[in-house]
Amino acid sequence: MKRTGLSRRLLRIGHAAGQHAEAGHIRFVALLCAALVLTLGGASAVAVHAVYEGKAQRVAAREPAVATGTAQRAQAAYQVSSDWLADRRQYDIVFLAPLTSDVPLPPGVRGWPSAGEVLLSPALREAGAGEGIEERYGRTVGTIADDGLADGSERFAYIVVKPQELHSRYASRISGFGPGDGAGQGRVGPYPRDDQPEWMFQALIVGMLFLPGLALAWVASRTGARARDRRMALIASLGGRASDRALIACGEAWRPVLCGIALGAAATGAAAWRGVRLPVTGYVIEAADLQRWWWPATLLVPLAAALCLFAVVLLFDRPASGRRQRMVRPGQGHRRSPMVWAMLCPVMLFLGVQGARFFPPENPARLFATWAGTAGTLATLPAAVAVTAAALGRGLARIGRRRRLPGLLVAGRRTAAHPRTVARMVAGVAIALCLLFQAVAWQMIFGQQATAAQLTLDRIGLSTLEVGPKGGGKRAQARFVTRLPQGTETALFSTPGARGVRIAGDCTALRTLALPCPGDEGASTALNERPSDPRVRELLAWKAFPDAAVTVTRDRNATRKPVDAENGSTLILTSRDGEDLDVAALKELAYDSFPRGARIDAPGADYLVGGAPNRDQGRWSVLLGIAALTILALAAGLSGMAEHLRSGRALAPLTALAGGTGIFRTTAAWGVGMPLLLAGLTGTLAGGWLAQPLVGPRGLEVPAALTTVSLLVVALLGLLMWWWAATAAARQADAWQPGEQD
Amino acid sequence: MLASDAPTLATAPSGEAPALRVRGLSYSLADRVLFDGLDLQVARGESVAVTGASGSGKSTLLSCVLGLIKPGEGTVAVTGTPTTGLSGKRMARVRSESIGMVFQFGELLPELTPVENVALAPLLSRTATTPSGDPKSEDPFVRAEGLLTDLGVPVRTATSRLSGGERQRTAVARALMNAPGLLLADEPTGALDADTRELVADLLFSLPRRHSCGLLVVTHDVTVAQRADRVLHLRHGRLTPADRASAPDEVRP
Repeated sequence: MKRTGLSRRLLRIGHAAGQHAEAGHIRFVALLCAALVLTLGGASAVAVHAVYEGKAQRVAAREPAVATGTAQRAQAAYQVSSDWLADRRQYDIVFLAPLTSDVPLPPGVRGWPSAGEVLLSPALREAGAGEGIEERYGRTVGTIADDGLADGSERFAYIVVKPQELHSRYASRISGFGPGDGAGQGRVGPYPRDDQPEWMFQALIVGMLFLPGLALAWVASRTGARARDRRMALIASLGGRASDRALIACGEAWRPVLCGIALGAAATGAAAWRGVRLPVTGYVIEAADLQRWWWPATLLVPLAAALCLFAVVLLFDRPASGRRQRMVRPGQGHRRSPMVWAMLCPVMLFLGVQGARFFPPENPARLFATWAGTAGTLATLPAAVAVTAAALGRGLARIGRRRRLPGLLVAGRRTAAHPRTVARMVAGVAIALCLLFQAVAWQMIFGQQATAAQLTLDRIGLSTLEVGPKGGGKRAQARFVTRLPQGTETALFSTPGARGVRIAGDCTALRTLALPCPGDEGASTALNERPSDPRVRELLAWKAFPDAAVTVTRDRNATRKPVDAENGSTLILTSRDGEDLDVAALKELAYDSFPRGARIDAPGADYLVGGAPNRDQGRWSVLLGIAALTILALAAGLSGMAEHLRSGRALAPLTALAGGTGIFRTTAAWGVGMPLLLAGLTGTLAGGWLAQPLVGPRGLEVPAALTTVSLLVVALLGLLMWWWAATAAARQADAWQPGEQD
Repeated sequence: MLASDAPTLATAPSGEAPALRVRGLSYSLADRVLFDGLDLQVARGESVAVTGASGSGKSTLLSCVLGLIKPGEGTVAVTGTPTTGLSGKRMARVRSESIGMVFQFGELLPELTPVENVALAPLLSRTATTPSGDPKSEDPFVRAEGLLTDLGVPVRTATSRLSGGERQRTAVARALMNAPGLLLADEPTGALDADTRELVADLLFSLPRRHSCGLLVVTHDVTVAQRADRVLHLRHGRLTPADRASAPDEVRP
């Protein structure tokens, strides 16, 4: 027979075998999911690169070209400022003052607005709708088109002002926008300030999508392997070469792999066609970016994913060799007891959670103890789970026997006999959960100041605000102060000495803050006691040294003088009734009073603003972490299901005769559903405990939402897998007939 | 019709239904006729062996008796209960109450002890009753242990460490647990060596009289088949009495 004909026949043999194989449907789904995950993982990597590239191009195109004098004529004055909404995600706003009538337009702007008019990005317009964003900077007359924005999620604004309003030394004279006009001196907008380097994102994709995808592929390759191993051994004994066996294996796997990559390519194609808003992060992937890379994303990546999967199948889908294969009877293999490792697990957990306490503060051994304990816990967890599962299995079998419950009896004996199967399922998911919690905990530590600022906000709300005017003089400040809403008191917080603090204002303002008011105008008094008003305490905590001497000055004009922000002066607004002040309205007033508005927020909120990128990046960790967890839980569930079907096959003749296929509900519950649930519980408990030494001393907690979602994902998958495993095993038993062999 | 068509039918004791009665069974698989008006009767206390070439339909006959396959025509009655046309649930009940089966490879669960393997049948069928019909008067595990001891199976040894003969005897004990009226055996000695085969065959063919049940054995093995009260050969869709002195070539092992 010609080689091509033989190859075709071998592929057909594999294909036919795949359709009638033991656990065939499960392997089909497992391979399909693995192909889908690998395709989406590859497409994600391409998308990340496309997005970074697209953002870089668009941001470069809107960069201002600074006028150099003789060669380039100054066409406009240009100054960047920043602002944020209630979620404290900082964004840039650009003040532009045209100096000539033929000023070039920045990308995304179709025509110059008049002075006092504003163009907003759609994302800013949408996010700030509830905060009066359309009136904050002036009259909003339109939106910035996509080609003028880094991406669809970007908040950005162009505010056109009169030239005389940009007298600040910080304003630039520009001749145009983009490389074509000679730009390149500096970037405007959040990119790349708030973005991590691309390689970090790619590493996240590899760790959170590719590696779990490969784990799933490995599980898929070994699902229902017993019959295939026999077939391969037969082919080998008949003189089949490795290439023949590979063709059969490919013939068996091509259909699910093709379905998986087709689904992945379709999803990628849809994203490239319409763009996509990602959950959790809310990030919008621009269709335009993906369209530039459509052929690698929809053609090369699926092809690579398929090749990768075939490689995994060929590499791992081979009969066991060596000692295990030589065994005459099942269950005769002797393995070292995992008891020692299992007993080390609680010790390691204790070391990880409490180890730091045995060392003095600032001693590096504290961190080492936490790390060693965490690593040790993860390393010994599988053994601990195996030992626990074996004990639990014996207990279940005892109950089953005593109460004459065949399902419990069989499930218990199986768990006791094969605890490593359960351990693999549980430990894989639990370790993934622990790592996710660690990642989130470290992210929270990096945002520790932001979290402390949030705690301040939780305690005093927005009843006291700091105001930092941007530009303007005495008149602007007076205009702002005199137009403040009723019930708003003003004081001036300044740091005149090296370690001293002065709070100045009229008596009403001082009394609103529960401060003493000196008898005479202009007089001062030292504050010797701890301030009774929590708002003053929070102000001092954020703006003064702990041992700062506080002076209270009665000065009714204190807040009418220009605030010298560079010397630590801040205007303080306080609500008389202790209720929150309307920040959005105050900001609008500030932009109407000061040339470039004012920074207005609660004490310490600067750290919230600074921590926002970290918080937003943390959402990526959560999104990809939950995706990785789902893939790993799916892999664990499919592996448990395949094992359940394999053992269910042994029960099939008996259940066909004696009836009672309901036994499979019980065995599936204990063999597939419970291990996954146990994995979720073990992972969240151990993960929470191990994260405690990192976040606990800083007054933080791992977000309850993360724990809930993680548990929910694993529990739902456990439920789904339990139902599927029970149904498939019962169907397999129903189809049994005498004379049937594996 | 039955008396004239059925080959060497044993007469059932007066008033007692035979363990198995098959009449006019027809069944085709694609364009292949497996049974063409097949008749068979097995009385209580009687053993019948069915031999035949591979693919002649021996295992399919067992499937029809078990109600796992619906025949094209004909009727099957187990201990007097007609089973053709029964719903799945009622058929399952008949199987669990009236039929025991021994498989070629024993089909034991290696993780369970021999006693648990034997006790599993009544636990699954929820008929943890004694042979006398007294429900739950005796622990199924105690009964299983008694049966295994009677059959010479070491009850303290792990199932995975039992020899082939011990495994098959355990399977026999399991088949007897629900005190069935009909015992089926599918190549019960097919996986055993010669010495063990003799022991298991001795045990198997002693069961009908000891337990007052009918035994239908499907086998390739002529030496095993010849121990039965009657030996039938399945060919061209019908059962014919086999020549005990010289069995057909195609049924030699």
